[in-house]
Amino acid sequence: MTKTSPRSDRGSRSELVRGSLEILILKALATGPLHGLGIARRVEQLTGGAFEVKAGSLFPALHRLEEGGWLDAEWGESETRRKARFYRLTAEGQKRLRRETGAWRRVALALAQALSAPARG
Amino acid sequence: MGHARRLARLLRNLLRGAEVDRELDRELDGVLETLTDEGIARGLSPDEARRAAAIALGGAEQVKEEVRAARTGALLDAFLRDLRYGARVLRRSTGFTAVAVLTLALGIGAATSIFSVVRAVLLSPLPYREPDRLVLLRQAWPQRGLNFWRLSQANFSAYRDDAKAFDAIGAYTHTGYNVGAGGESFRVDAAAVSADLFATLGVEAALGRTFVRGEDAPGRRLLVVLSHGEWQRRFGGEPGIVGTTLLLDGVPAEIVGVMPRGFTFPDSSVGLWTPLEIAPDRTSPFMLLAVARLKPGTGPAAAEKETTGLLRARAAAHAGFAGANAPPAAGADLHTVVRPLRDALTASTRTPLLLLFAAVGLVLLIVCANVANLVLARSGGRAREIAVRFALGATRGRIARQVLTELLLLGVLGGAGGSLLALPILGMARRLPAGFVPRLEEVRLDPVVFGVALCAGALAAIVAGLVPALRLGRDGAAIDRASARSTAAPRGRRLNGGLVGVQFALSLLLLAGTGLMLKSLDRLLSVDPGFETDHLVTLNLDLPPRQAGAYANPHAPVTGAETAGTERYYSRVLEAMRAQPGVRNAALAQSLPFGGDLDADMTVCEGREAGADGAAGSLTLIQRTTPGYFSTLRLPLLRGRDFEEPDRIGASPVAIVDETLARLAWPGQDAVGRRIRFAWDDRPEAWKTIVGVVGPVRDDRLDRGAEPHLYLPFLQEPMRRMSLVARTEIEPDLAAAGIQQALRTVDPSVPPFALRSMEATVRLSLFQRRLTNGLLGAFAAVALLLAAAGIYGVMSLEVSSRFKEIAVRLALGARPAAVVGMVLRRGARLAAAGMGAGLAGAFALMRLLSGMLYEVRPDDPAILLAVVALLGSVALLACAIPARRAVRVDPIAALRED
Repeated sequence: MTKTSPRSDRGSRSELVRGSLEILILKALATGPLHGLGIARRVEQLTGGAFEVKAGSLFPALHRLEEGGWLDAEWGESETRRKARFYRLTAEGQKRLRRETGAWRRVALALAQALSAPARG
Repeated sequence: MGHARRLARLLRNLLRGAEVDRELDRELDGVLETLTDEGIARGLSPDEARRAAAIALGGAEQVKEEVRAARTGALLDAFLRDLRYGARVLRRSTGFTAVAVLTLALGIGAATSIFSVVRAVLLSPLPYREPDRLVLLRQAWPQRGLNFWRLSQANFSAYRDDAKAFDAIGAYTHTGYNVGAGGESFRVDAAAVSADLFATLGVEAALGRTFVRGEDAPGRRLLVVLSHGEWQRRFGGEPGIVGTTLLLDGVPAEIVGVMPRGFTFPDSSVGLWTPLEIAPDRTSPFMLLAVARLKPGTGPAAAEKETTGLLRARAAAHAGFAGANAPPAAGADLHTVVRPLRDALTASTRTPLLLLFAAVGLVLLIVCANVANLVLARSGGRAREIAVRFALGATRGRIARQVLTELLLLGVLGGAGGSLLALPILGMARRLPAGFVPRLEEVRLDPVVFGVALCAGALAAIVAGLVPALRLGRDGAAIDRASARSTAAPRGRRLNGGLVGVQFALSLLLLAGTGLMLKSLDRLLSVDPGFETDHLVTLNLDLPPRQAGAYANPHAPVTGAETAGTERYYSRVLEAMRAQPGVRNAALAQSLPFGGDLDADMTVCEGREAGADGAAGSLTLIQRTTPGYFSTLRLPLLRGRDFEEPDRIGASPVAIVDETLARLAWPGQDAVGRRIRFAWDDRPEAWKTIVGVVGPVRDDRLDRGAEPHLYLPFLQEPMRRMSLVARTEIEPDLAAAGIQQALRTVDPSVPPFALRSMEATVRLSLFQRRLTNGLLGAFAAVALLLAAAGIYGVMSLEVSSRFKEIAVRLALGARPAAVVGMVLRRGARLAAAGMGAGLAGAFALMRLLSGMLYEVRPDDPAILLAVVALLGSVALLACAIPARRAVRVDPIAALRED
């Protein structure tokens, strides 16, 4: 699977990556508020380590999601008693997660079907 | 997300960007600390843990940059940051900024001024309804030398009644009135207009009404419409003025209306309008111009074709329709000329204005080249700064954007400065004497021009700086090379040299054009008008007709009962002048030399009755004069005698011709004793016997050759409107007041007007040319200065970038003279290449000036040589300073530098 990197080209591929990163962030927050580092680790855990989320793509994505109104953030304390910003899903964010999860499923299904069809001679 | 929310974000990010950045800092700090804590917990030392954490985060600055880019309004925010950074950079390098902004302001100020004038005079629509459909109609008969021929009332009536091309048509002619009575009377310039003229223009009165159809029929009572300015000046803007009566030439005239503010027709000197009598059967004089509104979809060419057909058909059928005593033969080339009104009204200014526009365009290009050179020269010095920003992770696009923002800022500053410069220039332009540049009162620094100036400034700076900026952004290696001080970037120097070449080429064009124009003016000033122009006071007098409402043709002698009164008045004027202290002698003439309103008519010389096209006569300037006119002007009487008191009505008709006419009519023979008459008067008693021949004069325009003149005795053909010419013993300006006072005493109801010295009149006749030359000279001086600054800058850069090489040469024993020679040769090569291109351009382009040159060829070798010499010496001078610096190089210091 794709690795996201902060210095990726601004091409169509990064759009795909950006889109998948954003939905993964929403998914990571579905079980409760997390701070930035926590989100990165949760995403890695969710994808079985296939996605390594770097700070250079995580924070811009968080920023975009917050500005878009899908996330809310407030200051709190991390497990190590450090100041950290905790993000949680807004109602809008939950709606988007549901909607895009459905869409992703359909796309994944269609792709799997297409790719597993026997090749014609 | 909703628009309102998006906007709120944008505002928050823009207004509280610093706070948002601080939050991000705190958040990233937190992440860094957490990662460090975890490292320590894994057993790393605190230092190792911190390093590992920083690597894992991947550069806090880059993360911040990425987040900023993701923000709403990121582009605008980046732009604002670039702007602040640019302002800081510009503030830091005060010298560069000052020179660049001043240069830009100079170029843009000049361009804005000229563009404002071009826009107001040539481009903006006339202040009438649907002005694009308005045309000016006049006539021409080239075979007769009548290239600008006005219409008779009969001509006008024919076009009005029969032409299908027009929705409406009106006629007008300039005139003037002695307004008021007794000692209160003053002179007002006016236009007599046919009743339909205002309707044709599509302009209503602001107060009352304009004229209605039928009010231009002969024998109607006199009416008047005032201009807004005249209403304010003379009547204090009194709203009750409509319906009251004004005395025009002693005749009561009802004020029927006041025109709106800003309405002028045909020019701003006109203060009131009166109805022009139109009698369809009156075939002379030819003193009208017509304004017509084309039917939608009809072009001037079609209208010209139709009216020409009408003119030829009528002229062939009716004697006198075309002015001659017999219908012109078939195939005569008489025709109408139909031109868009705006072009016709501004024709005299079009060429000089376009010339100035081209010149100012050249100046702007030179300014661009100069700014490009400045930016380029500085880019060497900035290379280190930019290399550092590269190293810190800025992208090429980011740096190019930054440099462009800086240039944009420079351009806007220059544009603003230019506008500040243009404002006083335009103020001065509006105060120029009226009548020399039409529509000048409409000139102002309008918002559009201001915007254009700002854009021009930004564009000029960006175009100027684009090449260097792109090179910086494109090529990191170039920066590395440039940042090492001793190795110059050769490509930069080539570009610098090229820009200097362009400056020299353009400057040469501008200087050559200016030189040609100045030489033309010089030639004109040395033209001998044929008489002595110093110590002459001139003024106009207009004796009103005795009979109220009678049709008065200002170009025809008075007849019948009026002759005695006219003669009596003017003989009293001359008597008063004889008694006037400070006046040596004085005489009267029908019109003033260089006054622009000389009378012309077709004349027939005895023995040469048949003209070129079968119709008789040739075009001659007519002056009716009193005895003593030639001695007052010191116009030499070559043969025969002047007019004398006995040459009166009833005595046999006499005439005097000038040498030009005598040579044309009777080459190699004595004209005295020959006879001459007007072409339209073929009665046997119309012949006038020539009693004298005077020297040739150029009293119309200095740039026209001497034209044939016919002088007739005022006492045989008295005119109402005459010009007084008085030769004074003291300075004419000192004598003027006394002369005016004396004339008021003769008859207070006849106010003298257009009072000025003959020298002032001659100066005014060259005014437009002087103004054009003055501006051209200023532009050329700016171009020269910028070219000098350009080559100086480049050679300075060259010398300082080759300090090391020069030091080595000197250390190895090169003579200082050889080093100076090396620098000068390089400068001379640059200048010579530019001037070569400029000369080629001059040979190709100066032909366009031919129409404006007087007795100077467009490739005048003296001018071109002088310009090359001037530019060459300026180039050498500008190179001499860096060359001197070069030989003062201290070899040890220069070699130690790196």
